[in-house]
Amino acid sequence: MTRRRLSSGPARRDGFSLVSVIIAMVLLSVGVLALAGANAASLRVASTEGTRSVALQIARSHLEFLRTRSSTTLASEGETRVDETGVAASDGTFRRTVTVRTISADILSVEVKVVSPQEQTVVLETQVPRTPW
Amino acid sequence: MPHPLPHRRARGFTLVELLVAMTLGLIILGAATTFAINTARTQARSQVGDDSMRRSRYLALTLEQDIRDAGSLMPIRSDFGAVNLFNDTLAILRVPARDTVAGPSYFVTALGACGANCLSVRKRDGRVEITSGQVFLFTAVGDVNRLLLATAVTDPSPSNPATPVEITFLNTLDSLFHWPARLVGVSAANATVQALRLSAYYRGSVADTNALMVAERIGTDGRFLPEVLASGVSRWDVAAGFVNGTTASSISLTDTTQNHCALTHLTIEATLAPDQVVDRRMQSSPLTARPVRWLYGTRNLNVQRTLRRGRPCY
Repeated sequence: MTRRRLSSGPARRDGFSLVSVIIAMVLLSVGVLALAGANAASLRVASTEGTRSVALQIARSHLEFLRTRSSTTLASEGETRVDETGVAASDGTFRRTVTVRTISADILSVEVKVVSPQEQTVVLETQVPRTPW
Repeated sequence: MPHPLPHRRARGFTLVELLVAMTLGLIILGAATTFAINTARTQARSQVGDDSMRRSRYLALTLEQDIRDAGSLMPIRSDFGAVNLFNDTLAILRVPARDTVAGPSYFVTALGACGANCLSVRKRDGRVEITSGQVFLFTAVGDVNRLLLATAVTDPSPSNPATPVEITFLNTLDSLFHWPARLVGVSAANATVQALRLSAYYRGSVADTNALMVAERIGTDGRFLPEVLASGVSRWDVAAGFVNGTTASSISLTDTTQNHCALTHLTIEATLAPDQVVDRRMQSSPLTARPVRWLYGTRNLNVQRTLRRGRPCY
C-alpha cells in the first residue's frame, strides 16, 4: 500500500483527521439544532401570544356584557366552556369564570377569568355601582 | 507509483468518497431547503395573521367608539333612538364634536316653515351648526321626532345674529335609514333642531360584496356616500341586545321588548380575510381568517338608563 502522506513539496495534500471531522460535525449539528430550537421556540411564543389575545378578547367581551346588566342580577358564574369567539360551547377550548364580590354597600367587584387551552390565565376586574333596580 | 508532477499531487476522489460526499450533501441540502421553506411559510403565515389581526383591531376600535358614543346628548325615545339595526346595516347617531363651548348640547329653535321643505331657524352664537348634506334631529312640540337631511343652508345676512337661517331639507322620503323622516302635518313653530352625525356600517357594494362600507356622508338624494372600511369581510353579523336578555338582528319599533330604550349592547361577529394573500395554501389556515366576536355596550344609553332609574326614555 502506498503511503498517501508525502512530505515532498510545500503543498501537503493532507485530509482532515477523523477526530477533527467528528468535532466539526458535532459543532455544526449543535449550531443547527440550536437554530431549529430557537425557531421552534419563537413559533411557540407566537402561538401562545395568539391564544392569549383571544382569551383577552373573550374576557373583555364578557366583562362588557356584564356591565350592561343590572347590578341586582350580577352573580358569580362557575366554569363555562367557551369557543374562541366567547360563545358557550360544550366543546369549547377556553374556560371562563365569573366572580362577583361585594366590596361595600355601594360597590360590587366583577372579575372575569379566562383560561386558554395552553393554561394561560387572563383576569379582568371592574367595579360597578350597586343600584336598587 | 510514479507521478508526473513531483510538486503537486492531482489525485481525484475515489468513487466511494464521491458517493458519500454527494449523499451527505444531498441530505444537508434537503434539510436546509425544507428548513428555509418552512421558515418562509411560517413567516408569511404569521405576517398574514398579523395583518388580518391589525385590520380587525382597527375595525373594532372604529366601531367601539361609535357604539359607546351613540346617542350622547340627544334625547332617546322608545320610537326614536340613536342606534338602528336592519339586517346587516348598523346606523348610529351621535352629536358631532364642536369647536365651541356653548353648552352641553346644541339646539336651535325653529321659528316656522319657509316652504314645504324649508325651516327657518334662529341663530345661536351668531350661527347655526348645520351644513348641507348633514342630518339633524327635528323635535316638534309634543315630542314628535324626525331625522331630516339638510340639502341647503342659507344665511341671508351672516353678520346679523338676529336674522334667521333657512334650512332646506329632503321631504320626500318616509324614512331616512329607518328613522321617520317626512315632515308632513307637523308644526315647525317652537320646534328644536339639533345637528347630528350619522355613521352607517354595512357590507357589500357593487364592486365587492365582501367589503365593509362606512357611510358618514349622505348625498342630497338621501343615499349613502360610502367608503370602504375593510375588504375581505366574509362574515358580518350584528345583533342588538336588550335589557331583558333577548337579542335581535333588526330593531323593530313595533315590538315593545325591542324598543330603543331597552337597548344595552351590540354584538358583532365578523371574519376578516387578510388583505394580501401570500400563499394560496395558507388561506384556510386558522391564523389567516380568524372569526372575531366583539360586544360593545351602548354605554352612553346605559348611563342614561341608570341615571333615570331604569327609564331612559321620555
